[in-house]
Amino acid sequence: MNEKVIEIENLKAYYRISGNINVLALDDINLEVKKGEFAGIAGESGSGKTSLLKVLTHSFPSSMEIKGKVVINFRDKNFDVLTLNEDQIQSLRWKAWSYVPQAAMNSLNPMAKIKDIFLETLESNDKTMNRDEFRKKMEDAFENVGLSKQFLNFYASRLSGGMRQRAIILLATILKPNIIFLDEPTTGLDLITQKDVIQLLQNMHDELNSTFLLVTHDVSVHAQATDFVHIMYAGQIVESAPTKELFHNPLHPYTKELINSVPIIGGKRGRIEQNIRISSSIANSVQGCKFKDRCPYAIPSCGKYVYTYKKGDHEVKCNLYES
Amino acid sequence: MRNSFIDNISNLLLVYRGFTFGIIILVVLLFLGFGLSNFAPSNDLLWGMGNAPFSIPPTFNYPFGTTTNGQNLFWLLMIAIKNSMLLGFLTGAISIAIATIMGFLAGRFSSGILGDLLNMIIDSFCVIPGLPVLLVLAFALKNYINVVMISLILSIFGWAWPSKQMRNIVMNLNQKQFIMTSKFSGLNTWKTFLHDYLPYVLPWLLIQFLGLVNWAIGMEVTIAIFGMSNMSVPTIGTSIYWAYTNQTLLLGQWWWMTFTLILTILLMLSIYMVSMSISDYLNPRTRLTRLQKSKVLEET
Repeated sequence: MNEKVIEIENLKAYYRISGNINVLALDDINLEVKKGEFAGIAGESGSGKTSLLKVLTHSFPSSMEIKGKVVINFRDKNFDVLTLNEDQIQSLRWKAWSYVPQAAMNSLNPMAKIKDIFLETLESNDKTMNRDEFRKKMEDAFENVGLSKQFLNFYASRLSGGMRQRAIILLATILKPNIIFLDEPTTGLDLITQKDVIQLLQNMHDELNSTFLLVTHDVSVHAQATDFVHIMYAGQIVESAPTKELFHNPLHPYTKELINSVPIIGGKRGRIEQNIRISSSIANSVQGCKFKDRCPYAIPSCGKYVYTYKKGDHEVKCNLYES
Repeated sequence: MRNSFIDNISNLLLVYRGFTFGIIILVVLLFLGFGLSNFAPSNDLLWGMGNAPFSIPPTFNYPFGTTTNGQNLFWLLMIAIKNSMLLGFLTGAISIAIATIMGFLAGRFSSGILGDLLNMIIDSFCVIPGLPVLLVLAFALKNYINVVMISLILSIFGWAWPSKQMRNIVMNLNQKQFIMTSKFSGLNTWKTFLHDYLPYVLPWLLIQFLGLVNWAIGMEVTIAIFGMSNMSVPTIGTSIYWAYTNQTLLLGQWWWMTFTLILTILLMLSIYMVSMSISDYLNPRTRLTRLQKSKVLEET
């Protein structure tokens, strides 16, 4: 369980907008994910979650400039994905990792039958089986999650959002890759379907013994599904902790704000107090803590440096814990 | 589950009168051109001398009249329709094949050197004035000119504009999540084209093809009027050329030009109406309005 499957060191990523204008999407990320873990990355929109997944899955746009090291362990070998070429990356995809992309509901070609989409992926990535064996594998996978195998003959456009989401998760997991990256897999679904999808992910995680890395802004999804959560803000990881610990004892003011933002049924109605200011420079390199302009507890040292406090598995970057 | 192709065709036939009209005319012309023309007598297969009376107006024996050289205009025009349609369809097929491949590759690899190079070639062919170059080519290849050669010459310029549009469609599709999924799934360029891009562009390609057929028939007429076509082979263009050269209108032999023009208009109009109806049907907004008006939507 303590073996690391993902190790990120000093990762920086910029989007080149035009000329010399760069937007810093990932700012000195250091992160580890252990084998078999159901890890999560939370943060508000624009915090760099999806950019991080794009780097990890090597599906980033050509306008992105990346520095640092991203090591993925597969079959006891370490691969620095940023140094591999496209062919080497493709040989690792679906075996070392697979990806459930953001807007997964649009990830299936609406004009193709589900079985054809699955067959294309299976045939391109697994040369050990024939078409009949693939068909059997698909039918088993569908029935295993309570979906009729009849759905395989449906066009993707005829499936509901929840079904499409389940189909894309099945597609990502059917070849049992070591790591499965999930980008906002429950966004846009109703609450009941969301719950079903989370349940499906948990079942898959238990069954496959793969490592899951889930990215979503919805902290309640993290609370239900993950073992360990990393909180991102303005391209940095500001807090990391086991999920229970993080929700019971959040340390960073941003994490507290994020958890308090979850609406509670039966909670107090009324105007939400706006006690935070939006920083104009969250995406750029600034001295000290990037959250200081929004932080109600900011102290003078926050503008100069950031202190890293660590207690067991719980790590936070905040000067409030400097002894 | 009903076959969606049959559904679409029956919707088109029920709701779009233009499509129904166009298809009926096209089928009749196809029958006349590719079926009936096979029964033409040997001396009416090419422009030349015939053994019928000279320059007589339409009668029961000669429904379209005869030419100044004593040929039965009915059979010549049947062959002309066949050759013009053949030329149009061949040019359309060659041009659309080139346009599809060039446009797809230029769009798919738009961010690389290959994409830039292909785009430059497409742009060049778009801006080169086609007619003078076609006339020069037709003149240079005059000894080898036949229906296939004219199709090949026309195809040199026919592909460029559809290719430019195809590139834009492909670049738009590149942003779709399911295209990225296919790329992530390891599908090669050919498979991605077949499974992901082609189903989206196929109806559009059909409309472009029909447009190119009409364009090619029109261009052949232009080339023939300049005397650059194979003047012994009956086509719509050569029919107009010989009718004009023999001064049929001045001599009061109205039937030659009239029947040629009627058949030309029917052919081009039918192709245009089919093309427009399909284009209209493919636009979801106009399709829904039409289907709702005709109550087909409720029935289906």
